[in-house]
Amino acid sequence: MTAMKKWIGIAAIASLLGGCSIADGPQSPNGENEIRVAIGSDIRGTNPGISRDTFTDDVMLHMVEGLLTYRADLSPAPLLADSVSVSEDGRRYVFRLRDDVVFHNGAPLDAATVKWSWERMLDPATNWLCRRWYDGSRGLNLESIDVVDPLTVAFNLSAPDVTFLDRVANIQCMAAIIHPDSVDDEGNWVAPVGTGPYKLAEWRRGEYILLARHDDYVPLATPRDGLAGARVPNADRIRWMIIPDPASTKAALQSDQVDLAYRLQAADLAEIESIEKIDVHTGESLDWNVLLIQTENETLADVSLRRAIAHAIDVSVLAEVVSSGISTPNPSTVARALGYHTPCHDMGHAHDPALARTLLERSSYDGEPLVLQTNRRFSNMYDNAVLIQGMLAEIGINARLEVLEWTTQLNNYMDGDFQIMTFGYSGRTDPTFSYEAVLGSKQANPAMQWDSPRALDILQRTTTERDRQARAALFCEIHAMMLEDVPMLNLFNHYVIAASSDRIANYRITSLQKPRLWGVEVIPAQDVIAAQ
Amino acid sequence: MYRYAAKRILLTIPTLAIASGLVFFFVRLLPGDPALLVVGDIQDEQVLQEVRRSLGLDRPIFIQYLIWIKNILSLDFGVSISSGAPVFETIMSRFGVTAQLVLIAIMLALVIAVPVGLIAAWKHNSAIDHGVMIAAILMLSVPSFWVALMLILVFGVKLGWLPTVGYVSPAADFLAGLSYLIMPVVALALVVLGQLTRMMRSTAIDVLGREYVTHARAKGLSEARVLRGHVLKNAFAPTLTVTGMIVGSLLGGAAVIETIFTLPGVGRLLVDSIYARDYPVIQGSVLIVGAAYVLVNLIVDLLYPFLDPRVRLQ
Repeated sequence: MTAMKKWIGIAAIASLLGGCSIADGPQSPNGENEIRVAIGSDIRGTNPGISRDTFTDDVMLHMVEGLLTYRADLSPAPLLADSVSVSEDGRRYVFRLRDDVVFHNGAPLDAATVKWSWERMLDPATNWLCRRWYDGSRGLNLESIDVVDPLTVAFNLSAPDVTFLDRVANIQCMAAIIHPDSVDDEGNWVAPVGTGPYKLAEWRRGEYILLARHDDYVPLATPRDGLAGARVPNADRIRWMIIPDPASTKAALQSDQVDLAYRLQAADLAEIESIEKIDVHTGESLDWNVLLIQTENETLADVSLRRAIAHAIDVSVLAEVVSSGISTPNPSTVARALGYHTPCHDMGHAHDPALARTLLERSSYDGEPLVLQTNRRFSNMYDNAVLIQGMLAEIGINARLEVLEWTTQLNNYMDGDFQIMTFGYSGRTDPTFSYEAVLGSKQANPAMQWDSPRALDILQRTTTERDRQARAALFCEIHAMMLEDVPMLNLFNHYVIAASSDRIANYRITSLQKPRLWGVEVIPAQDVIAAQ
Repeated sequence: MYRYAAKRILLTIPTLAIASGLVFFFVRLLPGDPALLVVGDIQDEQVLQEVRRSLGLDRPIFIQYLIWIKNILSLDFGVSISSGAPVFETIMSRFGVTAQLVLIAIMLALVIAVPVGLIAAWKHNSAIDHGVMIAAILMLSVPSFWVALMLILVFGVKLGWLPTVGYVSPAADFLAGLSYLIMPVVALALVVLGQLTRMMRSTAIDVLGREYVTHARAKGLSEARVLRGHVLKNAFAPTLTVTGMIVGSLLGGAAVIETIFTLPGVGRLLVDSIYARDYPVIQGSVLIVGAAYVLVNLIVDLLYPFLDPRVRLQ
């Protein structure tokens, strides 16, 4: 009897394990109108622009919206605003709001809420990371915000600044218009009550973030265009699954447990392309790869040595190898995807080892090892460093790799504590912002790479020059000066690789490297099976 | 025994105090600034200073330590720099996942390792013994992450039987929870299995050579009774000690398995926190994992006399 009970128990367990489809757990694709997206780490918070990183921005972008956003050509486009007008003197921007927008709590959008939202961001107590973009300490000074009528709000600047609209649309700062219900009576953050096509349903730290469709969302009538245009929330839910390990991400894609993975590595491209039922999307982003050269360093203060380094590096090989053929060389800080990338920005240092050797002989370099800092967290930086080390060795420069943990390298970058370093910058949507990231006084901010008062003066002019062609000419001038000084080498714009399963349709990448899950459709399970 | 237990628990306090101090100061010796990671791409020295100030990182390090200790005494572990979530709640929610994983893996390993090690010792120098030894060394030599990836490839990707990512609490849905734990448990158990089998075998060989075993055999007891009654208990005692140490170390050290299977465990939390220089979470995790380590080993010590009556706890 006892033996019989034992066997019945074993059989019961076996039938349970075998009979149920264990892999189809609660995150099952079957019958659920849910998109499951792999992200590399948990979000840092839900308070837009306060505690953020790239993945946080990606998720928040689906929940909150600003007055403006970006089109595919990276020009600012209305989002919550219906239209924008600028006064003759360029100091007053008047936003006419859409009349069909409601927050996640059902409250309608109005000018008073926009004013409240902006004033909250500009309050030092909020710790909004981009507050100083508007307080005059970096040029632009937002003096006041007026409610003109319930659907019109005006922003008054102390002086004209053509970058204002671009700043309002900026993704990292995320100047989101939120409802006052997002905070408690004391102003402490509670949860985002935004206007986006999705709202926060559940955040299980370390596991997933679940967004549910905002049922009252009214998409724009214009077609999807970059982050602008119609944001149609086709899926009922989006589940952002935190998968830190790239190998696990690939396995999850192969086993149909995620529908989308983006920010994939170029080294994995061939393998991902070989997976059946997976669409691979590739392109160039605004992010750019660089070799930083510390001009304050005694050895590298010699411009002949810096030029020798520039001519020793074959950027086309770097771009080809590191991006698996997706990216092309870009010697300029101005990204290829930007309209301001005119032919002058294609001018760079030609790969010329003979010239590099001549320049090296003219320099004061005596064969001492140069330390090339890099890290393994970002494979592009590491791969660039390895290849550059070999290219420098060819002309007689002894570069020694120093592989650091990323946070340590970032610290060294901020302190200017390096000789040469492979690095990467996040994309900026306007060349002024790109140059602002590298151009400035090293004494005031050691993270600045190019200390050139003349170039800085020209950069200041780009913020007030309203004629587009004249502005483009100023950027050409800055680029030519940078080639002359060689404070750093721009290599190529980073690649974008995303992989989507055949369970979803209509996914497209953008050069902003931001996943857009509005407009994406979940294909019913029976149709997926039929297609197979 | 009660006095012994009380003494051991009291000794835990200075141990954890020293450990917390070491962790607090050593973590801050690491290059890297958590404020930098908060500010990210927005390069502004003044914003950076403001973030440092808001995180309390602008104060002298010794003052920071005193504030932390004062808060810990009132069980306030602070909030995470990365997520703003309360540290204690964050760690405890993760600790449950790790405890599940580790305890099931250890139980599974023990259930296999103890009889297998015993049989290998009993059949010392036979083909069975050699086979067990080869298997144990193989399990010890193969890294757990490789085993994990192979399991994912076979059972997750090729056969599609088990989920490769995600986690469901068995308390919420037992069967689904079980399905998410099978592969990580097996990957972890295989490595532990090698260690425990070797330990059990070597102690059993030692016990089998003792006079009281010869005496038991001379009395005419069956081999099964000799093994069960005289060898098993005496050989298991040292294995139990090793098991306690393994459990303790895995409570904070299962990060690789947790990362590969995306389990929200405390090991993964600790590693992520180190990368993010999330000081409050690192300090809190080390403190809680350290306390768990001491507690597990105390339980093992208290169990010891039941297995080996010669041992008296003083």
